[in-house]
Amino acid sequence: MESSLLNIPEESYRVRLEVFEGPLGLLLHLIRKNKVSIFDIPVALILSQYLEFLDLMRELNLRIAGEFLEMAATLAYIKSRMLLPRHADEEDEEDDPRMDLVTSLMEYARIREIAKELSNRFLLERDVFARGAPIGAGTREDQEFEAGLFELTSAFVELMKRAETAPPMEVKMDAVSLRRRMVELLSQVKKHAQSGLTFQKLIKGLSSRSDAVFTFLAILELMRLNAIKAFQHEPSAIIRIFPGPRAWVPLPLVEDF
Amino acid sequence: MEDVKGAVEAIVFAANSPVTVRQIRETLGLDDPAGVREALNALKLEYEERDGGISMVEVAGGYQFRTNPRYSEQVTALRKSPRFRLTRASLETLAIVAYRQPVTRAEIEALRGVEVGGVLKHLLTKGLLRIEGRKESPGRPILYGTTKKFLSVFDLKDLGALPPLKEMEELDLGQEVFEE
Repeated sequence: MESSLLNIPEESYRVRLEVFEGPLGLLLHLIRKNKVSIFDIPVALILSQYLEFLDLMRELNLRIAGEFLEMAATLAYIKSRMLLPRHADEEDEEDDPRMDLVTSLMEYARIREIAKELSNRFLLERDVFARGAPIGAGTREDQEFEAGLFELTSAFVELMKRAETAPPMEVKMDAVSLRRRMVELLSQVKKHAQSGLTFQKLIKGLSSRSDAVFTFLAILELMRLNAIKAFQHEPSAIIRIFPGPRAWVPLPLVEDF
Repeated sequence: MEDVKGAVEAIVFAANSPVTVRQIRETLGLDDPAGVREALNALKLEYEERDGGISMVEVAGGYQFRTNPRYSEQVTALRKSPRFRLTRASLETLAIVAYRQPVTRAEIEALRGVEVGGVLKHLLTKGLLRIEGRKESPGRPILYGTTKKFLSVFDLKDLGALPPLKEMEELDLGQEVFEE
Protein backbone atom coordinates (compact mmCIF):
# COMPACT_ATOMS: atom_id res chain seq x y z
CA MET A 1 0.00 0.00 0.00
CA GLU A 2 1.47 3.35 -0.94
CA SER A 3 1.93 5.50 2.09
CA SER A 4 0.19 8.43 0.45
CA LEU A 5 -3.12 6.62 0.45
CA LEU A 6 -4.36 8.68 3.33
CA ASN A 7 -2.45 11.79 3.94
CA ILE A 8 -2.95 12.57 7.57
CA PRO A 9 -0.44 14.88 9.22
CA GLU A 10 1.63 13.45 12.01
CA GLU A 11 0.47 15.68 14.86
CA SER A 12 -3.21 15.54 14.13
CA TYR A 13 -5.74 14.30 16.58
CA ARG A 14 -5.21 10.75 17.69
CA VAL A 15 -8.27 8.55 17.86
CA ARG A 16 -8.22 6.40 20.92
CA LEU A 17 -10.05 3.42 19.59
CA GLU A 18 -10.24 0.36 21.75
CA VAL A 19 -9.15 -2.44 19.52
CA PHE A 20 -11.90 -4.89 20.11
CA GLU A 21 -10.34 -7.75 18.22
CA GLY A 22 -6.83 -9.01 18.69
CA PRO A 23 -3.99 -10.14 16.44
CA LEU A 24 -5.33 -13.70 16.22
CA GLY A 25 -8.59 -12.33 14.83
CA LEU A 26 -6.65 -10.31 12.28
CA LEU A 27 -4.61 -13.37 11.26
CA LEU A 28 -7.72 -15.51 10.81
CA HIS A 29 -9.22 -12.67 8.79
CA LEU A 30 -6.17 -12.63 6.50
CA ILE A 31 -6.03 -16.43 6.20
CA ARG A 32 -9.68 -16.47 5.21
CA LYS A 33 -9.29 -13.56 2.82
CA ASN A 34 -6.40 -15.25 1.02
CA LYS A 35 -8.12 -18.64 1.10
CA VAL A 36 -4.97 -20.35 2.34
CA SER A 37 -4.67 -23.36 4.63
CA ILE A 38 -4.12 -22.83 8.31
CA PHE A 39 -1.67 -25.76 8.24
CA ASP A 40 0.47 -24.25 5.53
CA ILE A 41 0.40 -20.53 6.14
CA PRO A 42 2.41 -18.56 3.58
CA VAL A 43 4.10 -16.56 6.32
CA ALA A 44 5.79 -14.00 4.07
CA LEU A 45 2.52 -13.11 2.35
CA ILE A 46 0.50 -13.00 5.56
CA LEU A 47 3.19 -10.98 7.33
CA SER A 48 3.29 -8.35 4.60
CA GLN A 49 -0.50 -8.00 4.67
CA TYR A 50 -0.47 -7.95 8.44
CA LEU A 51 2.06 -5.11 8.42
CA GLU A 52 0.01 -3.27 5.78
CA PHE A 53 -2.91 -3.42 8.17
CA LEU A 54 -0.82 -2.05 11.03
CA ASP A 55 0.45 0.72 8.76
CA LEU A 56 -3.08 1.62 7.87
CA MET A 57 -4.13 1.66 11.50
CA ARG A 58 -1.16 3.88 12.21
CA GLU A 59 -2.04 6.18 9.32
CA LEU A 60 -5.53 6.46 10.67
CA ASN A 61 -3.96 7.31 14.00
CA LEU A 62 -5.62 4.37 15.66
CA ARG A 63 -3.94 3.24 18.80
CA ILE A 64 -2.29 -0.08 18.14
CA ALA A 65 -2.27 -2.39 21.12
CA GLY A 66 1.01 -3.99 22.11
CA GLU A 67 -0.32 -7.46 21.26
CA PHE A 68 -0.38 -6.53 17.58
CA LEU A 69 3.27 -5.56 17.56
CA GLU A 70 4.21 -8.67 19.48
CA MET A 71 2.49 -10.82 16.87
CA ALA A 72 4.25 -8.94 14.07
CA ALA A 73 7.57 -9.75 15.72
CA THR A 74 6.57 -13.42 16.06
CA LEU A 75 5.63 -13.59 12.38
CA ALA A 76 8.90 -11.96 11.35
CA TYR A 77 10.81 -14.45 13.47
CA ILE A 78 8.96 -17.41 11.93
CA LYS A 79 9.58 -16.03 8.47
CA SER A 80 13.31 -15.76 9.11
CA ARG A 81 13.46 -19.26 10.56
CA MET A 82 11.72 -20.64 7.51
CA LEU A 83 14.46 -19.21 5.34
CA LEU A 84 17.07 -21.26 7.17
CA PRO A 85 17.96 -24.56 5.53
CA ARG A 86 16.47 -27.46 7.42
CA HIS A 87 18.34 -30.60 8.33
CA ALA A 88 17.33 -33.50 6.17
CA ASP A 89 16.97 -35.84 9.13
CA GLU A 90 14.45 -33.69 10.98
CA GLU A 91 12.17 -32.48 8.31
CA ASP A 92 9.09 -33.80 10.09
CA GLU A 93 6.33 -31.45 11.18
CA GLU A 94 7.82 -31.06 14.66
CA ASP A 95 10.42 -28.84 13.14
CA ASP A 96 8.01 -26.48 11.45
CA PRO A 97 8.57 -23.04 13.00
CA ARG A 98 4.89 -22.32 12.42
CA MET A 99 3.74 -25.03 14.84
CA ASP A 100 3.07 -22.86 17.90
CA LEU A 101 1.28 -20.26 15.85
CA VAL A 102 -0.92 -22.90 14.21
CA THR A 103 -1.80 -24.29 17.64
CA SER A 104 -2.79 -20.84 18.94
CA LEU A 105 -4.78 -20.11 15.82
CA MET A 106 -6.62 -23.41 16.04
CA GLU A 107 -7.37 -22.92 19.74
CA TYR A 108 -8.70 -19.50 18.88
CA ALA A 109 -10.69 -20.80 15.91
CA ARG A 110 -12.24 -23.35 18.25
CA ILE A 111 -13.21 -20.62 20.73
CA ARG A 112 -14.75 -18.67 17.89
CA GLU A 113 -16.75 -21.70 16.91
CA ILE A 114 -18.01 -22.22 20.45
CA ALA A 115 -18.84 -18.53 20.67
CA LYS A 116 -20.84 -18.90 17.47
CA GLU A 117 -22.65 -21.97 18.80
CA LEU A 118 -23.52 -20.12 21.98
CA SER A 119 -24.79 -17.21 19.94
CA ASN A 120 -26.93 -19.56 17.85
CA ARG A 121 -28.89 -20.74 20.89
CA PHE A 122 -32.27 -19.28 21.76
CA LEU A 123 -31.03 -16.38 23.82
CA LEU A 124 -33.21 -14.86 26.47
CA GLU A 125 -34.22 -11.29 25.62
CA ARG A 126 -33.09 -11.77 22.03
CA ASP A 127 -34.94 -14.81 20.64
CA VAL A 128 -37.14 -15.84 23.52
CA PHE A 129 -38.70 -13.85 26.30
CA ALA A 130 -39.88 -14.58 29.78
CA ARG A 131 -42.90 -12.81 31.20
CA GLY A 132 -42.87 -9.16 32.16
CA ALA A 133 -41.88 -7.23 29.06
CA PRO A 134 -42.27 -3.48 29.48
CA ILE A 135 -44.49 -2.35 26.62
CA GLY A 136 -43.26 0.33 24.26
CA ALA A 137 -41.78 0.97 20.85
CA GLY A 138 -39.16 -1.63 20.07
CA THR A 139 -36.02 -1.49 18.01
CA ARG A 140 -35.57 -3.75 15.05
CA GLU A 141 -32.40 -5.63 14.36
CA ASP A 142 -32.18 -8.75 12.29
CA GLN A 143 -29.84 -11.67 12.30
CA GLU A 144 -26.82 -9.84 11.05
CA PHE A 145 -23.61 -9.99 12.94
CA GLU A 146 -21.79 -7.07 14.29
CA ALA A 147 -19.09 -5.73 12.02
CA GLY A 148 -15.83 -5.14 13.84
CA LEU A 149 -12.81 -3.03 13.21
CA PHE A 150 -11.34 -5.29 10.52
CA GLU A 151 -14.50 -5.48 8.46
CA LEU A 152 -14.93 -1.71 8.56
CA THR A 153 -11.30 -0.99 7.81
CA SER A 154 -11.21 -3.50 4.95
CA ALA A 155 -14.31 -1.96 3.41
CA PHE A 156 -12.85 1.50 3.85
CA VAL A 157 -9.55 0.58 2.19
CA GLU A 158 -11.41 -0.93 -0.77
CA LEU A 159 -13.39 2.26 -1.20
CA MET A 160 -10.30 4.43 -0.94
CA LYS A 161 -8.42 2.35 -3.49
CA ARG A 162 -11.23 2.59 -5.97
CA ALA A 163 -11.89 6.26 -5.49
CA GLU A 164 -10.19 8.29 -8.18
CA THR A 165 -10.23 11.56 -6.41
CA ALA A 166 -7.96 14.55 -6.58
CA PRO A 167 -4.46 14.21 -5.12
CA PRO A 168 -4.60 13.95 -1.38
CA MET A 169 -4.61 17.18 0.47
CA GLU A 170 -3.60 17.93 3.99
CA VAL A 171 -6.33 17.12 6.41
CA LYS A 172 -6.73 19.58 9.19
CA MET A 173 -8.03 17.50 11.96
CA ASP A 174 -8.60 18.36 15.57
CA ALA A 175 -10.80 17.11 18.32
CA VAL A 176 -13.35 19.88 17.90
CA SER A 177 -14.00 19.27 14.22
CA LEU A 178 -14.05 15.53 14.79
CA ARG A 179 -16.68 15.96 17.45
CA ARG A 180 -18.73 18.14 15.09
CA ARG A 181 -18.56 15.43 12.45
CA MET A 182 -19.61 12.85 15.02
CA VAL A 183 -22.65 14.91 16.00
CA GLU A 184 -23.70 15.33 12.33
CA LEU A 185 -23.19 11.67 11.60
CA LEU A 186 -25.09 10.52 14.66
CA SER A 187 -28.14 12.58 13.77
CA GLN A 188 -27.98 11.17 10.23
CA VAL A 189 -27.85 7.62 11.61
CA LYS A 190 -30.75 8.30 13.95
CA LYS A 191 -32.83 9.57 11.03
CA HIS A 192 -32.28 6.22 9.30
CA ALA A 193 -32.77 4.16 12.44
CA GLN A 194 -35.16 1.73 10.73
CA SER A 195 -33.25 0.67 7.62
CA GLY A 196 -29.78 1.68 8.70
CA LEU A 197 -27.27 3.85 6.91
CA THR A 198 -25.04 2.10 4.39
CA PHE A 199 -21.38 2.52 5.19
CA GLN A 200 -20.25 2.20 1.58
CA LYS A 201 -22.77 4.74 0.30
CA LEU A 202 -21.94 7.09 3.11
CA ILE A 203 -18.24 7.13 2.29
CA LYS A 204 -18.75 7.25 -1.49
CA GLY A 205 -21.09 10.19 -1.20
CA LEU A 206 -18.35 12.39 0.21
CA SER A 207 -16.60 14.81 -2.08
CA SER A 208 -13.04 14.62 -0.82
CA ARG A 209 -10.73 12.02 0.54
CA SER A 210 -10.16 13.97 3.71
CA ASP A 211 -13.91 14.05 4.28
CA ALA A 212 -13.95 10.28 3.89
CA VAL A 213 -11.13 9.75 6.37
CA PHE A 214 -12.77 12.09 8.78
CA THR A 215 -16.10 10.35 8.52
CA PHE A 216 -14.46 6.98 8.97
CA LEU A 217 -12.75 8.14 12.16
CA ALA A 218 -16.03 9.58 13.40
CA ILE A 219 -17.69 6.20 12.80
CA LEU A 220 -15.00 4.40 14.77
CA GLU A 221 -15.28 6.85 17.65
CA LEU A 222 -19.07 6.56 17.73
CA MET A 223 -18.76 2.78 17.74
CA ARG A 224 -16.38 2.95 20.65
CA LEU A 225 -18.88 5.11 22.53
CA ASN A 226 -21.65 2.61 21.73
CA ALA A 227 -23.61 5.39 20.04
CA ILE A 228 -23.75 3.45 16.80
CA LYS A 229 -23.46 -0.19 15.80
CA ALA A 230 -22.41 -1.63 12.48
CA PHE A 231 -23.91 -4.83 11.09
CA GLN A 232 -23.14 -7.04 8.14
CA HIS A 233 -24.85 -10.14 6.75
CA GLU A 234 -21.63 -11.87 5.80
CA PRO A 235 -17.99 -10.91 5.42
CA SER A 236 -17.47 -8.44 2.57
CA ALA A 237 -21.18 -7.67 2.33
CA ILE A 238 -22.69 -4.23 2.72
CA ILE A 239 -22.19 -2.78 6.18
CA ARG A 240 -25.13 -0.95 7.67
CA ILE A 241 -24.99 1.44 10.57
CA PHE A 242 -27.70 1.68 13.21
CA PRO A 243 -28.09 3.70 16.39
CA GLY A 244 -26.47 1.92 19.33
CA PRO A 245 -27.59 1.64 22.96
CA ARG A 246 -26.08 5.04 23.75
CA ALA A 247 -27.30 6.89 20.66
CA TRP A 248 -29.61 9.15 22.60
CA VAL A 249 -27.16 10.01 25.32
CA PRO A 250 -25.36 13.33 24.76
CA LEU A 251 -21.89 12.79 23.32
CA PRO A 252 -19.08 13.39 25.79
CA LEU A 253 -17.27 16.69 25.53
CA VAL A 254 -14.04 16.90 23.66
CA GLU A 255 -11.95 16.73 26.82
CA ASP A 256 -13.52 13.42 27.72
CA PHE A 257 -12.33 11.64 24.61
CA MET B 1 -52.54 -35.81 39.22
CA GLU B 2 -54.58 -33.23 37.26
CA ASP B 3 -54.75 -31.11 40.37
CA VAL B 4 -50.98 -31.22 40.89
CA LYS B 5 -50.40 -30.46 37.23
CA GLY B 6 -52.62 -27.37 37.35
CA ALA B 7 -50.91 -26.15 40.50
CA VAL B 8 -47.46 -26.71 39.05
CA GLU B 9 -48.41 -24.81 35.90
CA ALA B 10 -49.74 -21.92 37.98
CA ILE B 11 -46.56 -21.75 40.05
CA VAL B 12 -44.24 -21.76 37.04
CA PHE B 13 -46.40 -19.12 35.38
CA ALA B 14 -46.47 -16.84 38.41
CA ALA B 15 -42.77 -17.04 39.27
CA ASN B 16 -40.45 -14.35 37.95
CA SER B 17 -37.46 -16.67 37.52
CA PRO B 18 -36.95 -20.36 36.77
CA VAL B 19 -38.52 -22.48 39.56
CA THR B 20 -36.84 -25.65 40.75
CA VAL B 21 -38.56 -28.98 41.42
CA ARG B 22 -37.71 -28.54 45.07
CA GLN B 23 -39.30 -25.09 45.28
CA ILE B 24 -42.48 -26.43 43.71
CA ARG B 25 -42.54 -29.48 45.95
CA GLU B 26 -42.09 -27.37 49.08
CA THR B 27 -44.69 -24.83 47.96
CA LEU B 28 -47.22 -27.59 47.43
CA GLY B 29 -46.25 -29.35 50.66
CA LEU B 30 -45.46 -32.60 48.90
CA ASP B 31 -42.92 -35.11 50.16
CA ASP B 32 -42.24 -36.86 46.93
CA PRO B 33 -40.64 -34.96 44.03
CA ALA B 34 -41.68 -37.67 41.57
CA GLY B 35 -45.19 -36.27 41.21
CA VAL B 36 -43.87 -32.79 40.53
CA ARG B 37 -41.44 -34.09 37.93
CA GLU B 38 -44.17 -36.08 36.26
CA ALA B 39 -46.40 -33.01 36.11
CA LEU B 40 -43.59 -30.86 34.71
CA ASN B 41 -42.80 -33.37 32.00
CA ALA B 42 -46.43 -33.68 31.05
CA LEU B 43 -46.77 -29.90 30.84
CA LYS B 44 -43.62 -29.54 28.78
CA LEU B 45 -44.96 -32.07 26.33
CA GLU B 46 -48.37 -30.42 26.15
CA TYR B 47 -46.87 -27.05 25.26
CA GLU B 48 -44.56 -28.68 22.76
CA GLU B 49 -47.43 -30.47 21.05
CA ARG B 50 -49.56 -27.37 21.00
CA ASP B 51 -46.69 -25.48 19.31
CA GLY B 52 -48.20 -22.10 20.09
CA GLY B 53 -46.70 -18.87 21.31
CA ILE B 54 -45.37 -20.24 24.59
CA SER B 55 -43.11 -23.09 25.58
CA MET B 56 -41.99 -24.42 28.92
CA VAL B 57 -38.22 -24.70 29.11
CA GLU B 58 -35.91 -26.37 31.55
CA VAL B 59 -33.23 -23.81 32.20
CA ALA B 60 -30.67 -22.91 34.89
CA GLY B 61 -31.79 -25.82 37.08
CA GLY B 62 -35.48 -24.85 36.98
CA TYR B 63 -38.53 -24.42 34.78
CA GLN B 64 -39.81 -21.29 33.10
CA PHE B 65 -42.33 -20.20 30.49
CA ARG B 66 -40.73 -18.51 27.52
CA THR B 67 -42.03 -17.27 24.21
CA ASN B 68 -41.61 -19.31 21.07
CA PRO B 69 -38.48 -18.15 19.19
CA ARG B 70 -40.64 -17.98 16.07
CA TYR B 71 -42.22 -14.82 17.42
CA SER B 72 -39.06 -13.05 18.58
CA GLU B 73 -39.59 -10.21 16.15
CA GLN B 74 -43.14 -9.57 17.27
CA VAL B 75 -42.21 -9.62 20.94
CA THR B 76 -39.23 -7.36 20.31
CA ALA B 77 -41.59 -4.88 18.67
CA LEU B 78 -43.62 -4.84 21.89
CA ARG B 79 -40.73 -4.06 24.13
CA LYS B 80 -39.19 -0.78 25.13
CA SER B 81 -35.67 -2.06 25.61
CA PRO B 82 -33.38 -2.80 22.67
CA ARG B 83 -32.79 -6.40 21.78
CA PHE B 84 -30.16 -8.12 23.87
CA ARG B 85 -26.87 -8.37 22.05
CA LEU B 86 -23.42 -9.58 22.92
CA THR B 87 -20.28 -8.51 21.14
CA ARG B 88 -17.87 -11.02 19.71
CA ALA B 89 -15.39 -10.19 22.48
CA SER B 90 -18.03 -10.98 25.13
CA LEU B 91 -19.09 -14.22 23.46
CA GLU B 92 -15.53 -15.44 23.08
CA THR B 93 -14.73 -14.64 26.69
CA LEU B 94 -17.89 -16.37 27.90
CA ALA B 95 -17.05 -19.41 25.76
CA ILE B 96 -13.62 -19.70 27.36
CA VAL B 97 -14.89 -19.26 30.91
CA ALA B 98 -17.79 -21.68 30.39
CA TYR B 99 -15.54 -24.52 29.35
CA ARG B 100 -12.47 -23.83 31.47
CA GLN B 101 -13.85 -22.49 34.72
CA PRO B 102 -12.56 -21.58 37.17
CA VAL B 103 -10.15 -19.65 35.03
CA THR B 104 -7.86 -16.65 35.51
CA ARG B 105 -7.71 -13.53 33.42
CA ALA B 106 -4.21 -14.44 32.20
CA GLU B 107 -5.45 -17.81 30.97
CA ILE B 108 -8.27 -16.16 29.03
CA GLU B 109 -5.89 -13.62 27.55
CA ALA B 110 -3.48 -16.34 26.44
CA LEU B 111 -6.27 -17.98 24.44
CA ARG B 112 -7.77 -14.84 22.96
CA GLY B 113 -4.42 -13.16 22.40
CA VAL B 114 -5.82 -9.88 23.63
CA GLU B 115 -6.38 -7.97 26.83
CA VAL B 116 -9.76 -8.80 28.41
CA GLY B 117 -9.98 -6.59 31.52
CA GLY B 118 -12.78 -4.41 30.14
CA VAL B 119 -14.81 -7.33 28.83
CA LEU B 120 -14.54 -9.18 32.17
CA LYS B 121 -15.75 -6.12 34.03
CA HIS B 122 -18.67 -5.76 31.64
CA LEU B 123 -19.66 -9.42 32.01
CA LEU B 124 -19.39 -9.22 35.81
CA THR B 125 -21.66 -6.17 35.81
CA LYS B 126 -24.11 -7.98 33.53
CA GLY B 127 -24.17 -10.84 36.02
CA LEU B 128 -23.06 -13.40 33.46
CA LEU B 129 -19.75 -14.06 35.23
CA ARG B 130 -18.75 -14.08 38.86
CA ILE B 131 -15.59 -14.26 40.91
CA GLU B 132 -15.09 -17.80 42.17
CA GLY B 133 -12.11 -17.11 44.42
CA ARG B 134 -8.39 -16.93 44.04
CA LYS B 135 -5.96 -19.36 42.54
CA GLU B 136 -3.36 -20.78 44.91
CA SER B 137 -0.44 -19.72 42.78
CA PRO B 138 1.98 -16.77 42.81
CA GLY B 139 0.08 -13.50 42.92
CA ARG B 140 -3.11 -15.39 43.85
CA PRO B 141 -4.96 -14.30 40.69
CA ILE B 142 -8.77 -14.04 40.66
CA LEU B 143 -10.68 -17.01 39.28
CA TYR B 144 -13.77 -16.42 37.14
CA GLY B 145 -16.76 -18.66 36.56
CA THR B 146 -20.19 -18.45 34.95
CA THR B 147 -23.38 -17.67 36.85
CA LYS B 148 -26.90 -19.06 36.96
CA LYS B 149 -27.92 -16.09 34.84
CA PHE B 150 -25.48 -17.25 32.18
CA LEU B 151 -27.31 -20.59 32.04
CA SER B 152 -30.65 -18.82 31.94
CA VAL B 153 -29.67 -16.41 29.17
CA PHE B 154 -28.11 -19.14 27.02
CA ASP B 155 -31.00 -21.55 27.43
CA LEU B 156 -28.91 -24.17 29.25
CA LYS B 157 -30.28 -26.65 31.78
CA ASP B 158 -26.87 -26.86 33.45
CA LEU B 159 -23.21 -26.69 32.44
CA GLY B 160 -23.42 -30.27 31.20
CA ALA B 161 -25.79 -29.04 28.50
CA LEU B 162 -23.05 -26.98 26.84
CA PRO B 163 -22.36 -28.09 23.29
CA PRO B 164 -19.64 -30.77 23.38
CA LEU B 165 -16.12 -29.58 22.72
CA LYS B 166 -14.82 -30.70 19.40
CA GLU B 167 -11.40 -32.23 19.27
CA MET B 168 -8.87 -30.43 17.14
CA GLU B 169 -9.11 -33.15 14.54
CA GLU B 170 -12.87 -32.79 14.30
CA LEU B 171 -12.65 -29.06 13.80
CA ASP B 172 -13.84 -28.20 10.38
CA LEU B 173 -11.05 -25.98 9.19
CA GLY B 174 -12.80 -25.07 6.00
CA GLN B 175 -13.98 -21.55 5.46
CA GLU B 176 -17.03 -21.83 7.63
CA VAL B 177 -15.04 -21.90 10.86
CA PHE B 178 -13.88 -18.42 10.08
CA GLU B 179 -17.13 -17.13 8.67
CA GLU B 180 -18.11 -15.22 11.76
